[in-house]
Amino acid sequence: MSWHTLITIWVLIGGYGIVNPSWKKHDKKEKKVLFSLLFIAFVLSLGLGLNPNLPGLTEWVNALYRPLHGWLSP
Amino acid sequence: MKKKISSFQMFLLMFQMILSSSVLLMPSITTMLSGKDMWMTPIFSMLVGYLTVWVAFKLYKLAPHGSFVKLLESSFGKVIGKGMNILFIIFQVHIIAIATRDYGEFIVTNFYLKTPVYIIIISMLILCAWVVSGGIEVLARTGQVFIPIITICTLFIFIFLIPELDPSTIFPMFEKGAAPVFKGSVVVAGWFCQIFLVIYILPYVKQENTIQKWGYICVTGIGLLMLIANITVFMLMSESASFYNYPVFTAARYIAYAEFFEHVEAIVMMVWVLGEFFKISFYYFTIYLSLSETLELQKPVVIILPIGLLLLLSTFWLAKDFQMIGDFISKSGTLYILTGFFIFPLVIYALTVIKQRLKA
Amino acid sequence: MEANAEKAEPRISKDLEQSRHHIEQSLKDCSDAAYLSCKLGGKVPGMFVYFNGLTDEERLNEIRHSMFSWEFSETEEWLETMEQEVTSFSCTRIETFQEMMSQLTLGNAVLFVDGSDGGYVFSLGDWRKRAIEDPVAESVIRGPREGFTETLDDNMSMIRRRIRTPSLKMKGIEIGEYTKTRIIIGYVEGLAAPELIAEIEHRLAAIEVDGILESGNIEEFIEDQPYSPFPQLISTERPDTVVAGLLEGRAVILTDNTPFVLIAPISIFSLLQSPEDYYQRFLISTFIRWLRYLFFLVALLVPSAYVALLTYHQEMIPSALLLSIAKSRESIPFPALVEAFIMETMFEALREAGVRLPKQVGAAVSIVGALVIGQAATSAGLVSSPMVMVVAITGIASFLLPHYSVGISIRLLRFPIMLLAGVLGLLGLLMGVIGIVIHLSGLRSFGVPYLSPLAPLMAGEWQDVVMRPPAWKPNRRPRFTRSGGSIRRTKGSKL
Repeated sequence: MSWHTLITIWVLIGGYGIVNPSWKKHDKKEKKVLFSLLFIAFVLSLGLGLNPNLPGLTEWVNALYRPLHGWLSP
Repeated sequence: MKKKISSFQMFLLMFQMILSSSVLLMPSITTMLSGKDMWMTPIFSMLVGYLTVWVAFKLYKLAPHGSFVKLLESSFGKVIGKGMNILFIIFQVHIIAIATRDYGEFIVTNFYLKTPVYIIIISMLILCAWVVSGGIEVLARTGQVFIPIITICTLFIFIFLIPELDPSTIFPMFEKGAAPVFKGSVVVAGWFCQIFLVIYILPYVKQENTIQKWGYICVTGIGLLMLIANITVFMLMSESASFYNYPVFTAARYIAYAEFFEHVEAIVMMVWVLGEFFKISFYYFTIYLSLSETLELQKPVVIILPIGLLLLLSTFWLAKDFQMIGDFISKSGTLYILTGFFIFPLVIYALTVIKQRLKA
Repeated sequence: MEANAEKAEPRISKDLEQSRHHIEQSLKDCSDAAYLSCKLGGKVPGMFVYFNGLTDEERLNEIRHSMFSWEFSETEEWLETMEQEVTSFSCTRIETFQEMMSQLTLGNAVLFVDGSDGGYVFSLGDWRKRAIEDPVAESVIRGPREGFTETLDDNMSMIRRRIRTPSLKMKGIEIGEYTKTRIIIGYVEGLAAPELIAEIEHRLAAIEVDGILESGNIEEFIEDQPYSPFPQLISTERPDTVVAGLLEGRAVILTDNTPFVLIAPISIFSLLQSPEDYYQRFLISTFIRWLRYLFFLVALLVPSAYVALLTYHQEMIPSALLLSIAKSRESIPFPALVEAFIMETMFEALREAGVRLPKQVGAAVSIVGALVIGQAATSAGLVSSPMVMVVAITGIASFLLPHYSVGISIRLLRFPIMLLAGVLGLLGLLMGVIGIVIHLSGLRSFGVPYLSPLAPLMAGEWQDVVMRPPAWKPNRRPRFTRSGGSIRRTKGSKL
C-alpha cells in the first residue's frame, strides 16, 4: 500500500472522529483502549508505508512449521 | 449475556461461515493432494467437525457464564489467561486477514482489474463493521434473510452444470491408496475446525438443549455440500482442477443455456461475496467480542472501527503477494489452523477437566 | 406562591357580570365569538357563549326560547330546579374557564347563569365538513369505499360500527400547546399487548410541541428510528385496514383534522399488503402478492442493475440485446450512470409536479409529459430509449406498492444504490442491498422486529407472508400479541 492511500485513510479516520464525537463520551478506560488500538494501527501503517513487503505473520508461521513442510505435499 | 438468537440462527451462521471459502478454494488444493479421490475428503474430515462441535459445547458448559474468555482466565490465572486470549485473538485476526485478502484478490483479478484491492476490502470491512455494531441479533437476522438464498443459488449452479458432467472421471477409486485421501482430509479438516468459533456466540443462544443437535446437523450439512461441490467440480474438470485457483468459479463459466443464459459468473461472484460477508463478519464479531471481554469494557462499541482498521492493515501485512498466500494455505497453513482451532481447544478442555478433578 | 395562585385555573364565579367580564377579556379581538343573553324563566339572567360558524344557531335559539318559559319560584331551590331542567338538554357542567375554551372550540355553546358557579355545555357542534368519500390514495376494486374524514368523531364512529364489542377501547388525549389536538388511541382489549399500549401512551405523553397538524407530525415523534428511510407506522385512510389491524392486536392512533390514521406496530410485510388481497379469491391474491414482492425489488434495483451491467458486466447481456443497446447508446454523450441519474431525477420531478397540478390538467400533463419528454430527449440524443424503458418500468413498479410511504422509501434508496452500482458494478449493488438488509434487520417498530416473521423465524406466521392463505386456514394472531410481546425502547428513540 502506497503512502497516499495510507494518508487518505488516516485523514478519513480523523475526519470521522471529528464529525461523530460520540467517542468522547466513553470512560477513560475505553478511550485508552481506543487510542492504543489506533496507535498499533498507526505503527503498522508506518511500517507498511516504509516497507510494503514487511515480513508478515505468514513468514513467521511458515518458519515455525518448516519441519512439517514435506508431510502434506502430494 | 442476554439470550438473543435461536439455535437455528446459530446453525445458519456457522453453516455459511465455513462454507463460504471452502466451496470456492478447496477443490483445487484437495485435487492436488488426493488426485482422483478428492471428492471423498469431506466425508472423513466431518469427524473432525463433530469432535470440534463436541469440544466447543463441553467448554461452553464448563465456562463461567458460558464465556470462553473467562474460562481461560479462571483456569490459568488472570495474567496467563488474558495473554492466551490476546494470542488467540491475534490468531483469529491472522486467519481472517488471509480470507479477506483472498476475497479481495478474487474480486480484483476476475472482475475489476483496474480497481485497487484495498477499495474492495475497505468496502467489505465497512459493511461488516456496520453489522457487528448492530450486535449478534442483527447479524443473525441478516443471515436468515441471505443464507438460504446463498445455499439455493449455490445448489443451482451445480444443478445447471449437470449436463456437462462426466461421472467416469472418478473411477478408479483409491488408485494410489488411502494416504492421499488422508492428506486431503487433513486440509479439509482445517476448514471444519473453524466451527470452534461458535463457542463465542453460544452464550447468546436461547435454546441451550438443542445446541448440540444443531451443531451436528450443521457439520453434516457442510460435509454434504462440500461433497456435492467436489464431485461436481471433479466430474467437470477431473484432474485439471488443481491448476485453477478457483475451480468452482471456472466451472460456472461453463454454464450456457438457450443462448441467453450465459456468462453468469457475475451471479456466482455475488453469491460468493454474500457468503464471504458472513464469514468475515462472524470473525470480526468474535474478535470484537473476545477483545471487549478480555479488556473488560463496558460499552465496547467504540472499538469496532479500530479493529476494522487493524484488520485492513493486517490484510496487507500478511504476505508479499497472493501466490505466497496460496502456498501457505496448502502447506503449513492447514496445520496452523488445526493447531489453533482443534488441538488448542482439546488441550484446554483436557487441562480444565484435570484441574476440576484435582480440585474435587 | 402568589404567581402560582394566579396561574391556577380561574373558576367561574357566581356573578354573571364578573364571568362576562372575564370572558370578554380573554376573547377580546375574537370577532367570531358570540354572546347571546337570555332570561331563564323570564327572570334569571343568563348568557350563552359560542363561536359563530361552529355552532348550530337554530337549535341554540330553540333552547333559549324554551328556557324563557321555565317556571321558577323565587326561593333558594331555584338553582337545583334549574339544574334539573338544564339536564333535560343532556349537557355537562364545567367549573373553569379553561374547560370552557376547549368546549367552545368544539362548537359547543356554554351557558352562564347568574348565581351559579358552573357553566353548562350544550353540544351543538355543527360545521361544514367533508362528506365521507372514496379514499383518495388507496382505492380498491372490491371493498368498502368509505374513507376517513377530518372529523375525529366521524372516524371513531366508523371504527365503532365495525367492531361491535365493548373491548374496543378508545383512549383520548390532547397534544399541542396551542392546537390541543385531540388524539385517540384505539385498541382491542385482550388482543393488544398492554405493554404496547403503555409504550404508545408514554411516547405520546412526552411530545411537547406548539401544535400537531397531521398524524405525520406525531409519527415522527413516536417512531423508534426517525432517521430510517422506512416507515415504522402505517398511515391509512381506510377504515377496513384499521379494523384489520386492530383485530391483529395492533394499536391505532386517530388524529383530529386529518383523515390519516396511524397503525402500530408493523413489519415490512404489512407495508406490502393491501386490504384488497383479503377480499379477492386467494389464488389471484397470492399471485398479486408475489407480483408485488417482485416489483418491490424491481423498483429498487432495476436502474442500478442496468447501470452496473452496461458499465462493468457487458458480457452478461445476451448478444442480440447488447447490440441493440449499443446502437442506441452510440451517440449519447453521457456514461450510463449519469444518464440514469438525469432520467430518474427528471421522473421524480415530474411526479412531484404532477401532485401539485390542478386535477383536470394533472393527469394529462403527467402522462403526455412523460412520453413527450422521453421521446424528445431520445431524439435529441440526450438519453437512450432503453433508459426511458428502464425508468418507465421503475415508475410502474413503484406504483404497485400499496402504501405510499414505502414507495417513497424505495424512491429514495434507489439513488444511493445507483451510485454504488455506477462505482463498483454488481458488487456495489450487492453492497447496497446488504446495507439495506442490515438496516432492516436492526429496525424495530415499537419493539417488534421489522423483518418478522422472516427473521426471527416465526414459522406459524409464514403463510401470510408467502401467500394469502385461504380464509379457512387457522387464523393465527401475530405472535407479538399472543405472548404479550415485549416492547423495548430502542436506542434510536428520543424518549
